[in-house]
Amino acid sequence: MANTQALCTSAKVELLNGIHAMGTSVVRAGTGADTFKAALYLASATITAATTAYSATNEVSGTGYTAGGVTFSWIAPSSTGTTAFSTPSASFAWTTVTLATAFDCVLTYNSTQSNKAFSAHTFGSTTITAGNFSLTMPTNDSSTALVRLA
Amino acid sequence: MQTPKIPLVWTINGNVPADSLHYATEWEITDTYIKFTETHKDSLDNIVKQSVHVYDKIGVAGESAIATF
Repeated sequence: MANTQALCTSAKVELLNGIHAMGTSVVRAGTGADTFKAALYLASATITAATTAYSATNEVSGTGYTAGGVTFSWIAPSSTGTTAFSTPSASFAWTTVTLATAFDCVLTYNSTQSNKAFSAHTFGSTTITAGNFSLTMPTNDSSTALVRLA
Repeated sequence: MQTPKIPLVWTINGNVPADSLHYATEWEITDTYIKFTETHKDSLDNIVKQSVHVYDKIGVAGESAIATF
């Protein structure tokens, strides 16, 4: 039996669960999951891996859309093979909205932890007129889940 | 004799008879998402109602990297 170096798969799941803190962390109010939100951004915005927090700057605006976006929860993180993963438990949906300026990005962020940015996802330039916008989540597995630590 | 009832569609121009609008759909299929757009236009070709539904096929991944000694 040989030894193999690795970032332990259990630790990847635990990172998603906020277990490990190698630097200054936060005092939590309890053991429950944080509150996450999803906000839409204009195609002219610059949401990237360098984004650190939610901002209303360049967020979409229009009839029926509330700044800050919608609240969602994650499926409990798990792993398959050496990949940890999780996906929101339901689609993101906005009903009866008018978003006349093109948008192409959704930012997920942690509302509980000072609106810190979590992930960004793009889907091509889009406008909505007196209609609905829905973002259906991928299959929650090690290959396609919305967030994965491989 | 009863007048046939025509369904109304709510639009930015108010409730209008469904049969007065032109309905069109469009699909955009990429490696990472599928987007379905449904559009109602009036007789002047103005968009009066448009909905979009996106299926995100794959999310984002972070890769672990372990230092070797």
